[in-house]
Amino acid sequence: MQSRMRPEYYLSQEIFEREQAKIFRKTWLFAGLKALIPDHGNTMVRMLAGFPVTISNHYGVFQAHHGQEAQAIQAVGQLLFVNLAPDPMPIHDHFSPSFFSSLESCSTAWGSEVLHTVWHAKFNWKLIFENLRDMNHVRFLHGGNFANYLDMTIPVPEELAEEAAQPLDDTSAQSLRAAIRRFNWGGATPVLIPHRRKVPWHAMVQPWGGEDRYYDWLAYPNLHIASGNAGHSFTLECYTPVSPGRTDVELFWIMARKTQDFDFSSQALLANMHGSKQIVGEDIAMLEAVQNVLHSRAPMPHQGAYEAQNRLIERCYATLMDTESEF
Amino acid sequence: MKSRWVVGTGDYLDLAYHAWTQASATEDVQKITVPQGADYEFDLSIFDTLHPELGDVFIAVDDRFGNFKRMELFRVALERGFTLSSFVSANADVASEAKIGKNVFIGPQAIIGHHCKIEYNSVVHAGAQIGANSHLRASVWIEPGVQIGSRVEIGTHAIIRTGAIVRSGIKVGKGAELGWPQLYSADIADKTVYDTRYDEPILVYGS
Repeated sequence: MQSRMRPEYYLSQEIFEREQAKIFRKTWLFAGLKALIPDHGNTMVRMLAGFPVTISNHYGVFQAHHGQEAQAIQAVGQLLFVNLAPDPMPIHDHFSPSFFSSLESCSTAWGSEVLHTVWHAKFNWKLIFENLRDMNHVRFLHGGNFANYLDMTIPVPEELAEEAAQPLDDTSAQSLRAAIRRFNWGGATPVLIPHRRKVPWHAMVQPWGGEDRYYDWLAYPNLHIASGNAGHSFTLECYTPVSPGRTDVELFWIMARKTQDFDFSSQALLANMHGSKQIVGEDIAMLEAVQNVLHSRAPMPHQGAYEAQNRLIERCYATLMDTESEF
Repeated sequence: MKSRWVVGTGDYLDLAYHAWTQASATEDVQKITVPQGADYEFDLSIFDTLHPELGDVFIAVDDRFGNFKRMELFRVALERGFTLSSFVSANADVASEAKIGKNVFIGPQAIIGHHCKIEYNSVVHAGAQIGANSHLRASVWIEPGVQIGSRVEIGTHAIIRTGAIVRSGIKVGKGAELGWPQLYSADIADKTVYDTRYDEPILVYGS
């Protein structure tokens, strides 16, 4: 199957601005964690859809402002989401109740210590989401580490591949919102962790999920959450488009809630972050190489059935970019 | 002859062992490696073979896990009643008023200014300069050639890597890691990590 994604989607400033207007200023964006502003009077400034948005804690109520203008904000457990649309879609139009509940459940189990950093990557933001939804990438990109530890092969139902091959007939806002709900999923994956490395601090936290599984959440368009140690700690990756060829990759690490106090928890999270730096660094290096060779007359790639999820997103994305349809 | 057991792991164990060997003609200096398991836990059984009345211990574990692993062995040795002397190279320039805690290592050509305080279990490698009236709290790791101004306070478990210059009067928070080779001219918050592999510092919120 030929991809629906034309090179200009990754290169054009005009397309980038359309994405900002039609996706990032219409959908619910991950905007940070409560733990970053835990007390009354705490504030943080986040770049969302190209705008600086001030998020504040007012006696435990979280508020978002762009300039003087209040923006819609929704707490989901520890997570904060902001919608910059003048008439924002209800959050359940974007996140299904089951996805919402899963995010809420896992993030409520998190502790209050957060590590945070930013990498300035040289690729278009869509590439990293496409990479994450292609689970075959693990054995090709992470053969030296992650792939030895987990079998990330997840079968794709044939009917999904068939559906993804069809055009999107109904391009109404209602249909597009129904489509976007399917781009978000999360919780327990079928991937078992057969030989989880047990380190002493694992016994000092209350893990989420209760199984030795890989946990994974994708919230379109800017958030990925994962736990590769069976719910003992979690990484959050937030993707902020800066320009067609630039994306800020923010990385957060947070631990499941402690059951006893210990003073080296930030070092444990730092060790996690260094591990993920290696893995995500492999992704970033490949995606930057892809971006680097893209040009306006680059041939359209071919996709396999395993990329059905990407194809579902791409038909929705192409509709938004190439027509007047909106969420 | 009394024994000097240099106990730990890695390259720093080797460095400390050779430093003690050269410095101690009257002691039986022995290098003892403590194995770490897959879970990074130390096998402490080696301590069962040592007796405090027969020798002293020097703990030599590098900065791994934010200096917590060195601290872990230090506490074990202390709890078992061992004396933990410091090592100060004969080629270091240490002001006579400086206070040096237990199990501190000060390498050759290091300069420790007057009225400095170096708390227990800290390591100041060769050629590092610590300005007058500076205070290094417990279990700090200072790499070779680091320059630290006067009146600098360095929090417990902090790591200052080669190439870093810390301006006088600065406070470096506990658990901070200054790994970018640059001048640090503002206070550093607790646990902030400047690591050359990253584009931006790693910040820690909450606890």
